[in-house]
Amino acid sequence: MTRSTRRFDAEVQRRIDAHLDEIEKVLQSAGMSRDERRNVLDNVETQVLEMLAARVQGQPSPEEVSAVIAELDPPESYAAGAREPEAAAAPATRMSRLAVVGAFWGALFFVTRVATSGGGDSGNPLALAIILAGLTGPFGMTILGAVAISEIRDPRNRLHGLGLAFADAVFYPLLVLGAIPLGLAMLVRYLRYRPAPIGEGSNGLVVAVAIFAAALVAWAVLGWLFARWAWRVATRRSDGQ
Amino acid sequence: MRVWVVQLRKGLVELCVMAALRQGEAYGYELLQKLANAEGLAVTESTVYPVLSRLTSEGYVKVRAAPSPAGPPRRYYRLTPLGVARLREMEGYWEEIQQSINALLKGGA
Repeated sequence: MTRSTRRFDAEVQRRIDAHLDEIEKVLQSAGMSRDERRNVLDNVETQVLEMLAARVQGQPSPEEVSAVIAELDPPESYAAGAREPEAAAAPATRMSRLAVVGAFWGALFFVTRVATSGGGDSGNPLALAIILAGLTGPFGMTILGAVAISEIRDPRNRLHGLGLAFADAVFYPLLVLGAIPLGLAMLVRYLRYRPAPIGEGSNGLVVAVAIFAAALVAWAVLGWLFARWAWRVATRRSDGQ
Repeated sequence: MRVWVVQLRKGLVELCVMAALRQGEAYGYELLQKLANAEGLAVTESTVYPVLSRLTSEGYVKVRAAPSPAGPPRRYYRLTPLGVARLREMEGYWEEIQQSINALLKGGA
């Protein structure tokens, strides 16, 4: 069970391993996953070795190891700690429905855009309703995302899905934010190269690509700053700290 | 130890572990010593290590291994952004129930 890099006498190592093995049995019986057990055992082993190092110079004797182990919690006491998460998870938390609905509503915008790009039967009431829902998708997704965040942050609701709610709330604002540098880039390109469209000037294409690349970089920077600010707001404590 | 004291402390360990990690990363035994010094809390390794392990697998805490002079590498834990957000939520809730309980204890509504 050990991963110790320090060389010990066989009996010393056996006593440490026996203690770790006992703890592992208890954790396994309590249903703890292999990774979590490994994590716990690594910490216990580190603690045993640090306690030994603090009191013994050089090789510890088996008795000294036993004395250190006797100061630790008995293996069976790990059962309560391992069962605690299951008990805590028992009142099942669920995903925020608002966050999920918001994501679907936002996606509907793209779906209807694609579906209506080739024209279609706009006289069908159902199709009209879907198109209308799609057109309002960006607003719906953003608003539902913001509401879902406050709903999730209230621990009494026992909801999760903060990441999805946050994505709902910032996705379209980020797209809108991108329109600023890209719009400026288009304006600059238009004003500068109106007499010589892309491809006709000697270096028109290169300059246009450079302008758009700069606009994309500006979008990325602005987007990152906005997302960081929004995340801080979304996770800020209610008292403003 | 009285049962109600054990039950009360149990529920606070996760909050305390995360709050201790907000001060900076720490390895398991170091964290345990920090928490053990907190008067009245008196947590031990069989409580703290499973909580650390669970917080890691839930993504609230990240772990990295670094060499130790005592033997195996130490596992250093630190809060992830998700963990920081969770801690803020827990703090908010803690302050809320603390006020309610204080009000009840003082005979208020």
